[in-house]
Amino acid sequence: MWKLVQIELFKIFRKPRTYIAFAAITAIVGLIQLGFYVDGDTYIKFGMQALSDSFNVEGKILNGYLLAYIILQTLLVHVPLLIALVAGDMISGEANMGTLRLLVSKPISRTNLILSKFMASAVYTLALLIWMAIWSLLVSLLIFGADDMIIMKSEVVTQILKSDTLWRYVAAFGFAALAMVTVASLAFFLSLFAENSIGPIMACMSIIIVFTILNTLNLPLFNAVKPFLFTSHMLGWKGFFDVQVNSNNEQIVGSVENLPAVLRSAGILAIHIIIFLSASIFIFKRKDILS
Amino acid sequence: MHQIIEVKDLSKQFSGTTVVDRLSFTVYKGDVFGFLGQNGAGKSTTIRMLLTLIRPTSGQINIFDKDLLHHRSEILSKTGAVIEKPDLYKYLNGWDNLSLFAKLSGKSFTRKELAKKLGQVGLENRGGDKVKTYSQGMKQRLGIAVALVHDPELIILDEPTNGLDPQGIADIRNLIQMLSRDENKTILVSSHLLGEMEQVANRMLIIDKGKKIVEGSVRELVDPAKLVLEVETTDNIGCRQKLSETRWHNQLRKNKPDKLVMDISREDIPLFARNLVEMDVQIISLKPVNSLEEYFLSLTKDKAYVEAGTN
Repeated sequence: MWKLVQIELFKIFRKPRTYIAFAAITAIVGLIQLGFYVDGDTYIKFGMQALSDSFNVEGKILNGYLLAYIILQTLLVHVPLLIALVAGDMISGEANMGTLRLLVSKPISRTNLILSKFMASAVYTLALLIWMAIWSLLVSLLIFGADDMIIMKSEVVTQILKSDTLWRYVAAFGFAALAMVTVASLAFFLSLFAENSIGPIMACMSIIIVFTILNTLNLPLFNAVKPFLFTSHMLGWKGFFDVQVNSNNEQIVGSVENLPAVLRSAGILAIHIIIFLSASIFIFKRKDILS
Repeated sequence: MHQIIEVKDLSKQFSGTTVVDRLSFTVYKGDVFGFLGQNGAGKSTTIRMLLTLIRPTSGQINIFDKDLLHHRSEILSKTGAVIEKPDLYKYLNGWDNLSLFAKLSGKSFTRKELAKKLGQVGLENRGGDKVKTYSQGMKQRLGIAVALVHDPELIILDEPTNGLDPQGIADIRNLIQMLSRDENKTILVSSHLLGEMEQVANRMLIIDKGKKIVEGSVRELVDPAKLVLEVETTDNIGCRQKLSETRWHNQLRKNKPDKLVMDISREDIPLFARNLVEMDVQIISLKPVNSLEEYFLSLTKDKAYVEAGTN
């Protein structure tokens, strides 16, 4: 199996389109960092306006941790497109090139073929998130330094200690990886039904957009299905930045406010991956290769 | 003789349409087995079923004395194939494609061994170039190299000479003959180039509308002594009139009044030519038509006619 995964990875990383995603992330993160480097103080002053009237905030508010949070919040919404670009091409691209029939006529079981292709797209997804982590977190820390992280939400201001932040990012990226592998498994599943990659990529993005819209509509009809939509759980990584407080309203270092909810979201995403992958294997094993 | 492929009552339906209809045939060890049929006859569907790309609706395929569906991996590891167009990874070079498919076939080779495989198809100097820069003929040759890379016992070639120039076609013909003669490979080859098929195949199967028309050795099916002769003269109609009063009139085909087409044996051609000269016919050409092509057309046309007549 590992040999098959290696072959699939070799094919993925020899394709020019694979690097579009890496270049796009580098460019976007670089631009955000440049913008904050040049004009970040003004942005922070504006954001802190309400707070500074009541509190005396000291230290480096615009630091690498905060910037990484801002970047993740902005970027993770758009990364599914970059994931679908490769995962949606895994089967349909082979069908389009005509290589699928050659692959299937080799002494590899169809189940192993699907598993290796899926694992290769999952490795690509992880590589993309690691690349994103390097640029959004490590490079931001190098440029802007480290300090406590202040996150402002509609009614709450959370201050996370510098020493309590890094593990949260590791967990958040781990969760984001799970969410993005879910997107990859959807795009992969859709790629079974097409003979060019445009269809699966567009279909995957359409599903994500429709589900996201359903999430925002507060109607009883949709409220019943919302907990089961994977898009409802994709931003669950933010849960790692909600810190539990004790009875004296003091932060508990190393805590997560609602860990069961985060884990439930992770579980629902994992179930989606299993469903999409099992369905892919089931369908591909019975599929006539006519391309 | 030892059977390599044994197909029994194989059928395939797509949405209620029968594409392959209770097809049975046998390929023996060392055969170069010609698989003939018009476009849409069901050749590619049959080949895809032999390679497990398509699941049969009914029937059985045994290869190397084993049931294909239950011993798929074992059988495919001893089988190499070119299926219709030789589509390969265009963004990879020839070496990478060859090496990749060798690994997928369960074998790995040294650079030297791969060079030998590329040399077999005349691509030793282009292995480092990306496949997208290859001509159609070069892609076809690389496709054949991919089929042969793991040294299979059974080789299935679906239209292997598609897109090749005359020299390329001759090279593939020589390669097939060499693989059969020197390496005792069993080869199933489908082609629409009937002349080529006649030169390389020792046995053949003709199918039409998914059904077997005939199967057997080329010698049995095509009597090389019997030919079809196309005669061109300065006055074909006058010549036909003259021939109608001679011993040749029964051999003259009547379905093309403006053309002279004869069923004739090889040894009678000199006598026929002499008779034409004696009758003062001005001959432009005497052209023997490929016998397999004639045989193929007669079988498939007759079949079409009979079926149309019964509807």
